[in-house]
Amino acid sequence: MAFINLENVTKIYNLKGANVTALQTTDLTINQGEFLALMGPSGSGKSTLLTIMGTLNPPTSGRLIIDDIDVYQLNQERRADFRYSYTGFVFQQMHLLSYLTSIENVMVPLAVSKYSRKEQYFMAETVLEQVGLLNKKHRLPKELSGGEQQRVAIARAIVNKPAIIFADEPTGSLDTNTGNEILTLFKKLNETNNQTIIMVTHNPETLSYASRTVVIRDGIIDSDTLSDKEYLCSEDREV
Amino acid sequence: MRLELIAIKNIVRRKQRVFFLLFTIIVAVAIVNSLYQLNTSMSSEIGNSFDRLGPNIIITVPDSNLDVSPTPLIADDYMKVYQIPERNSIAVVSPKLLDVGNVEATKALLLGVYFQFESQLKPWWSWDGQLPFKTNEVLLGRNIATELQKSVGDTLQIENQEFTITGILNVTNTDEDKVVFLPLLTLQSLKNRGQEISFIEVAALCTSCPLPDIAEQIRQVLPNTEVKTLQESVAIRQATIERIQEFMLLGSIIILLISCFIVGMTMMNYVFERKVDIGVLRAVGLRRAHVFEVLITEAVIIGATGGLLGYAVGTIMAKYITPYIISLPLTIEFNVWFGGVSVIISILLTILASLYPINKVTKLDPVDALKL
Repeated sequence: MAFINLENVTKIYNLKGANVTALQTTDLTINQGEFLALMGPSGSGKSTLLTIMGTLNPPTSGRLIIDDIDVYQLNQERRADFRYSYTGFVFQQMHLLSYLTSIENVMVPLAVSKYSRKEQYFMAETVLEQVGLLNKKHRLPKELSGGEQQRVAIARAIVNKPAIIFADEPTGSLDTNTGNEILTLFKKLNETNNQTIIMVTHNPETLSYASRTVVIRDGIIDSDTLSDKEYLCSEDREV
Repeated sequence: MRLELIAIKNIVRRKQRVFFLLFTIIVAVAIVNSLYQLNTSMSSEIGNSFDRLGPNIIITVPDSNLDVSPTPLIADDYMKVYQIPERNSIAVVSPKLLDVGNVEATKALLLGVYFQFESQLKPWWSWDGQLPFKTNEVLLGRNIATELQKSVGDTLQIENQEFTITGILNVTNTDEDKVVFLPLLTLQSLKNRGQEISFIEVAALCTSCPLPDIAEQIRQVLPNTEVKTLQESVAIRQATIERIQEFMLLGSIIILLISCFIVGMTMMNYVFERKVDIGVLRAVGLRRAHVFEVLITEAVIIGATGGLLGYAVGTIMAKYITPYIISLPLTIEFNVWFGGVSVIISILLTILASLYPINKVTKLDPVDALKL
């Protein structure tokens, strides 16, 4: 049984009275521990697919089953609990809370947890060490570089040990070297913790890290390929 | 990390963003508070000023009838007025004897009074010279002094006795301008009236007590007298104070409504500005109720701070600035109870103003809040 199962999912946006189909009928299954790269041209529907799988964006029709739970049948509050237990998010714009230090940002998802303040602090320190930023735990986001901010965002995404990490172009606003460092970090998390990673990306370098690549075009899955670096690189050129 | 800590850190570390909202609340609370304090204090001061404007109760002997001859009032009766339960509302009691006598070559009205009480009863009195102090000293009304061609320091023959004029009243435009004022005991002795007096005038602090009740209580202690209240003047005083209070209250309500609107708009802007933050909190697994708690905590802290500072600023404004605008000696002090009420109202106002935007923003799907 697949860990994530999308069944007949569609997403239609209503823009100024006109219906725009962002995602046509889509079926997709993802196993636990996969590192999936979601690629496609701008406006192809890859971010829509990511946010639907990330339980942030209810589909117009269809079902999302994660770990045997029909997620969109849950009410908003239950879905928030589900997100807390199962998912971590990393955004292209990092979206760190500007008024919190690195360690405070990492502790935000734990604010409603059963952990004591001391435990929360220890957990946050552990993940900050994992991403190599323990020495900057008291810095505000504005005092960090783009790559460092993204590392904090990753630490925030993994602090409650989620089964799935969703990343929306996490290297999109970083230079190549920093981008590669971030991708290495994701790969390490994938391999050491067996966390499922689903990443929207434009970066061809990602393909050498991902175990599977799904290409979307015009709201339809155009190709779904298991990792073969050279083959995937040629696939990307077609895109 | 606790939810309230997220709220506190936001306020502490984003001072500039919070400043405008806080400033709006401080100004609103300060103006309303200042107006309210001014209103309360001014009403009380005006009330006290009115209370000082002469007598409002007159105690006389009732008209005689065929069966019973009335018991005359005696000077000591005025002391009984201070025995009533509402004695704290009595400002001054002035017993008087009225008679007619030979003054120089003419007849004139003679009024025996205790000058220390009379001057309290009629604070508008002003005079040349000084008030009589000895038994053989008198005070003249301005018209009779002119008629008799007398000045301060001259002597005056009353009932063939010689008196010294120590003072002459300035024009009052009442019958008092034609009266010769003598010490009460002197007139009683001069006219062989024993301890008798004609009437007693009472000034009660009528803005703080019901005048008819005081009159009734005086009737209890002076049963053989007629006690009349000058209701009309009391009513005018009361109506004037009420009109001022209504005006100030209306002003306060209008300012409060405008303040609610401005705080509401500012709060809406403040919450909508945080849409992305709210999207992040929702995306990392915080429930709508959790985000609601964070934002309401911020509203409470901002409301409480604004209320406290607004109260302080408002009181300082009322205490130190308004006396330059309104020429009244106002008594305005810091008051813990009123300060507490200001803070609570400010908190409620801020919560009320934030409910709509918070409700709207937290209802958004995280993807809409984050514009993904």
